[in-house]
Amino acid sequence: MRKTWVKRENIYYKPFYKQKSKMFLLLIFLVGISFIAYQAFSLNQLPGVPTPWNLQQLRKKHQQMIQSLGKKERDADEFDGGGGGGAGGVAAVPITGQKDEDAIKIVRGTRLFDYDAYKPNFEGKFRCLDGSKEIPFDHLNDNYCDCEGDGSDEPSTNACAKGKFYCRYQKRHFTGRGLDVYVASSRVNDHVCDCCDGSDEWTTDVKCQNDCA
Amino acid sequence: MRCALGVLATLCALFLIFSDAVDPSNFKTCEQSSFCRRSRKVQTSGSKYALIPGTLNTYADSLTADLVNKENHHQFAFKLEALVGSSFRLQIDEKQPLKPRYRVEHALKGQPQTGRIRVQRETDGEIVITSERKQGRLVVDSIRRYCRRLLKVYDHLFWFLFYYNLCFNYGHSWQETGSLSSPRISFRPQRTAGVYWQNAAETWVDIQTTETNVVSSLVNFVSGSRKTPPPAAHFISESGIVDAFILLGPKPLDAFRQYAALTGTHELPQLFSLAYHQSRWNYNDERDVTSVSAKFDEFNIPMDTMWLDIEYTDGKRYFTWDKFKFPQPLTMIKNLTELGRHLVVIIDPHIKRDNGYFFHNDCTERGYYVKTRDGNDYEGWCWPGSASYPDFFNPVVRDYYASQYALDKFQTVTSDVMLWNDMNEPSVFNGPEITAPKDLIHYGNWEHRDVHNLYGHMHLMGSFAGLQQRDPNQRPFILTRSHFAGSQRYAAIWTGDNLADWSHLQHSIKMCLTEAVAGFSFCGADVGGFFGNPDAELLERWYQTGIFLPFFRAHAHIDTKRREPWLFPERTRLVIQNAVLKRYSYLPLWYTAFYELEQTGEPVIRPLLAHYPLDKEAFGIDNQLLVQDRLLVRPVMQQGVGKVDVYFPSVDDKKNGDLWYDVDTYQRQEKSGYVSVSVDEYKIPVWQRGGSILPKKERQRRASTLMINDPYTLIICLDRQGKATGSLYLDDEKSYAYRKGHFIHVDYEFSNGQLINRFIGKPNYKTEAWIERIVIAGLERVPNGATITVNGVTQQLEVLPHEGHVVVRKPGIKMDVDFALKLNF
Repeated sequence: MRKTWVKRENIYYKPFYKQKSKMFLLLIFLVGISFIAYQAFSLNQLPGVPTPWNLQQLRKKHQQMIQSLGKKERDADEFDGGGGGGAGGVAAVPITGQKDEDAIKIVRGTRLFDYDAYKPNFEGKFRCLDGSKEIPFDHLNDNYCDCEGDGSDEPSTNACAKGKFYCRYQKRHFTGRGLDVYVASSRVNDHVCDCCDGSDEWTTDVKCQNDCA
Repeated sequence: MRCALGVLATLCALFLIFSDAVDPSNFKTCEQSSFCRRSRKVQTSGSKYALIPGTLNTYADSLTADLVNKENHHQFAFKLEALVGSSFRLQIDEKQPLKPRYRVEHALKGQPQTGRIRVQRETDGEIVITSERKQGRLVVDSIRRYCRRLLKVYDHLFWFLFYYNLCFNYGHSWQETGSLSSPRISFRPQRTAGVYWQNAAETWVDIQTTETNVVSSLVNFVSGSRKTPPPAAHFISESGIVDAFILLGPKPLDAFRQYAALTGTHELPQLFSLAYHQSRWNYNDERDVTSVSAKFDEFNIPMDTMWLDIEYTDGKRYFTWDKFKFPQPLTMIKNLTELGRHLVVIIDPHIKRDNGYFFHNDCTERGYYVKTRDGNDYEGWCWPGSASYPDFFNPVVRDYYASQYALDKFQTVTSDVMLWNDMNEPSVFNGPEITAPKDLIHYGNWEHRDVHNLYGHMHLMGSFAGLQQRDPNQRPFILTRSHFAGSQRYAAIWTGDNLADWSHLQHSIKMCLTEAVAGFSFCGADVGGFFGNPDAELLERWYQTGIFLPFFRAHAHIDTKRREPWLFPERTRLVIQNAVLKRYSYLPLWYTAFYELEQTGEPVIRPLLAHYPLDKEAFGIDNQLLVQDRLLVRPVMQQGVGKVDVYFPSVDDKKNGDLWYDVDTYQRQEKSGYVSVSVDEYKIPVWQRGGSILPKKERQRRASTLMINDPYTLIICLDRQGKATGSLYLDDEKSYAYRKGHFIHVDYEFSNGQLINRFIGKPNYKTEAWIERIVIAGLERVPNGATITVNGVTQQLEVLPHEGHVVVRKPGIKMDVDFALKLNF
């Protein structure tokens, strides 16, 4: 067979914009970018979620929180934990340590993650976190264990065998990542400091030191 | 603890069934004891002894007479005293002894109160002697015949005729760890009697039953015929006098109470001592102690007390610490007590012969040691090597020893550190039968043979006084191995050095029941077995059994593998955690039971026959126990079983029994007799008696001391009439303030759908505890609510229905108020 030689200039190269598949991928990529950008803008409207441009503010808030843990305040409306008859109200602990209006208050011994779960549902009831049952909302933190499966109805008392008490101080990266710091419910108000900030003792007379740092 | 299985095996051997797991050749037999061999042969043949005519005198509370040996004309003084509460005391001593005979001291609680004695009927055949109000009747087959049965008193041989059937007995002889002379209690369906043979020397007991058939004995008893001779016991003691207490019952609990009236009961212990104890020979150093304690927290297993065995000392010099392993004992103790925990250290009676040791120097200079026949200090071999033994029979030595516990002397402990007295038989490794030679000389010139079994008791008296003087407000806790009748006033006991073996697990219940009817309720066995390595299943089952014995401690030999629960697979850890939590939930019951023991003398754990004396089948059951009359416990004590046979006793001889409710499922057992129950690895077969109310604390804590303000749960199990009663006792769980009335003792009563409380004495203790839940099992219908009335104020309560029971939600009653709770149907 005879060899034929083709000059390099005579070969036709398809320009980029004429390659359909590549253009299609590019399109998807651009749509993706614009979607994320759109999301990023709407993120700004969510409460308390970090976006890159209020980072500075967030750092400041975090700093304040850590500082405030040093001085353990006892609020008058805090749940008193013991006693037979009285039904205790839901303890709300400002996590920022500042008693300003926009500070988020969570039930003592819960974590921010479960913030919404500790609100009455549309029937005015509390649903155990494991979903096993619904109880009247005033049975929450009333020093009697109703959610025996996970102890979630008594985050601020020691009534449940399987309950968890999330310490006030949660050692976290500012992005919110990190493991939850908790002690067993049986350690709540047992005269022994278990949380590093001593937040598991507030009705007993022990003086806990804050050695979280 | 370590040198012998003595206590364990001896008791087991004498208790109903002889196990093949314990080698009987380890123990001395009567044939090997010369006085026993000589005396044993003399039995029913005619007596050499006779009553001297005209010497029989009757006084208001006693009856005296002189006896004579017809062969050598030796005379003896005989005295029969009536004691209050249907008991008699019989004493026989030589009239003119060449050398006085030892009379046991300090075993009795005090001088027994005498009652009125009356010879009621004196016919030719028999004499009936009654104590006051005709409660106790001692029938003597004519004084003459009676005396004929007193054979050879000179050699301390005593043949006593039991009028009652002897089915259940308890004995202990001088063995290598020989520690107690003990009551012997006999049973027969309608009547129960006991004999307490008070003698501190080596003692043997022969029990002869001519009628082995219980039915025939029953028939004889009912028909009043006594053609077959009643069973008899033959007590053979090496020295001392004849001193026997005859307790006439007539019910088993009466006999226990009569014995408790003589020798006393345990004091109410601090609550922590009823909780879980973690021990090992040895926890190596301070870090080991702290990390084991922390591990219990990590795995959420409650634990109250850490124990230190002999290795904490500086070369086995007690009252000192090893400076390298335990440089900062006070810091270590503080770390424990901050968690609500306690520490127990061992202090043994052998004293290291070392010129640099203050205790040895003091004892040598002041002549406090037990002497040899030649008047020198006796030297034996024990843990420290060459050791001597303080003579605790001397009150001065006891005082000196007690003063060593003062915190300004023993500065490296705090008043929260309690005590373990081991090796106090005394153990001498190179002595005969691993104890002290019989010819040692004690205070008062008594030979060791006279007092041997009392040595541990005297040691305990010193220790107890020491702890009480150290902190008069705190109830002392002492664990001892050697014990005599009456030692229960000072200490708890454990069953000695057992083996990680299923048969020893089974023995732990038999031994503790035996101890309990003989006054020592505060008894337990080393969980897991002291020698050897238990496998996971044995350890699980041992924990499950151990939680239903009053003293609950895990302990292990230094050569065994570490066996803390987390070193086993997760399943084992969870099973153990489950069991320990169950123990903690029942602590109010144990505490109440110990208070009621102190008040009434009724044992905390009881054999079935204590409450079901008419059930002949129940006589032989020794793998079940009752906690008071409220719980029936039948732990799983065999390997690899999926079912256990449980015996439910009957209240009469027509097979009618109580109702029994499974404590986990509230399933009801209505029939008496054997029932096969299936079990899994978590199941501890326990039933609550229908008709009882039982207090629990269901909140979990890491130590019992932290539970003091926790709320109570009442479990009400109804009988066939729909009724139930039960009591609860609470106080500060630590001090002697309860003796001044600072306590709450309350009776609960449920009938006709209504629960009320009634205080015994005035409720005079401030507590934050309350009642969080009332569980009722055995109701015919499910109530739709409950009404509670406190101080005239009524309130509606929710009632939650469950399988087999209902729960009254959060009555929220304080412990010191009167209330009435009515179920609404």
